[in-house]
Amino acid sequence: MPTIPAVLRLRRFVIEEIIWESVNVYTLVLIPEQVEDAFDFIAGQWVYLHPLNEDGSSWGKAAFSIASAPASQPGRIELCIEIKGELTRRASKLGVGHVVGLQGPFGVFTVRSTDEAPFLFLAAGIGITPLRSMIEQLLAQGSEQPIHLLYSSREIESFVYWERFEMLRQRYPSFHPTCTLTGSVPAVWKDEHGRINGAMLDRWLPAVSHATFFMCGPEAFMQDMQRLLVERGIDTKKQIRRESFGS
Amino acid sequence: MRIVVDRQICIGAAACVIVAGKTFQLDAEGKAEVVNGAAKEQTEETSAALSSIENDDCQTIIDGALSCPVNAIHLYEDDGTQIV
Ligand SMILES: Cc1cc2nc3c(=O)[nH]c(=O)nc-3n(C[C@H](O)[C@H](O)[C@H](O)COP(=O)(O)OP(=O)(O)OC[C@H]3O[C@@H](n4cnc5c(N)ncnc54)[C@H](O)[C@@H]3O)c2cc1C
Ligand code: SF4
Repeated sequence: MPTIPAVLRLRRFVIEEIIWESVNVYTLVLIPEQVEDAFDFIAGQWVYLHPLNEDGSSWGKAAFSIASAPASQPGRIELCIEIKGELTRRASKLGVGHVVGLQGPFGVFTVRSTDEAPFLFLAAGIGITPLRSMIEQLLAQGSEQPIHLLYSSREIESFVYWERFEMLRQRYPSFHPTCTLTGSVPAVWKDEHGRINGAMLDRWLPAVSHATFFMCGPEAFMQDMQRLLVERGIDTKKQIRRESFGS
Repeated sequence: MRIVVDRQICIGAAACVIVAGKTFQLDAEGKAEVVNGAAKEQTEETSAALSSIENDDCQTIIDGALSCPVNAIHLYEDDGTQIV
């Protein structure tokens, strides 16, 4: 009988915590049920999440980037999930102690040793998840290279990980997060306002000749960012890395 | 078996490459293409070939196709019947 490749083995993970990040976004904190269920991953990779039937078989699967950094707590995985359809709603109703299946890790949206610093991250909405993993991994590894993040969201209420990034900003002088709200802004808002355009990008871009860009968000956002960066002389093939969530 | 990658749908998530690395690879644009294989046809839209002994075994190619999060890979029997 052919053996199943390790990445396709359905690994059993227990829900340790469910954190509601906004009204329709939640984080599943998962720990391996057995030692052999644990797996290594590289920051930026994704997994298939399988809610399970009562007999332990898969109910269905959907892809989610791992939001936590490998360096944070070995074996522990955080998935940050926006409710869209049946599967994401079903998973949101699970409770602490329930078991889910994971397959993976997959993907090549990762920081490579040949990538030139500084690292510039562009995210919109739920596209922040793989970027959080990469940023926290770089910081945990003691990278002193500047890390810049430009993160767009509609409302302050839907900003996932905003407080987390504020905390990291205070702890790591090399980390520079900037947020922009495309909808209404609160009275005390001091960051950017509106969709990312050329002028905003120019305010944010550090004056450097080399850099690697990592972007993740809706397709329209990524096309806009790519166009703006190409207009600024950035080499799409060498300097831009992107992850699409497929919609 | 005929292997077809719909490159318009492919998002470069690289699951196929990790599962069936002797059959799929990412090109310079970050899109999957069929490697090795026979009677290869490559266009902007699709990359297709008949599986050969240089590729992974049939089950691994099927696993690779099923691992794609956007169903960009289609597999056909020699008589044209769709497997995936
Ligand atoms: C590489 C990658 C990374 C991603 N990372 C993230 C991320 O970090 N966070 C995020 O929020 N999104 C992420 N996404 C997007 C996410 O995968 C989709 O938003 C998600 O699949 C949509 O979930 P849904 O609830 O609409 O699923 P659905 O479309 O409802 O279901 C998905 C699958 O579940 C099964 N299913 C559905 N209904 C039933 C049923 N009634 N009975 C049995 N099976 C059923 C089917 O197999 C179906 O194909 C990522 C996508 C990709 C490709
Ligand atoms: S798994 Fe699908 S989306 Fe990912 S590279 Fe392969 S064909 Fe493209």
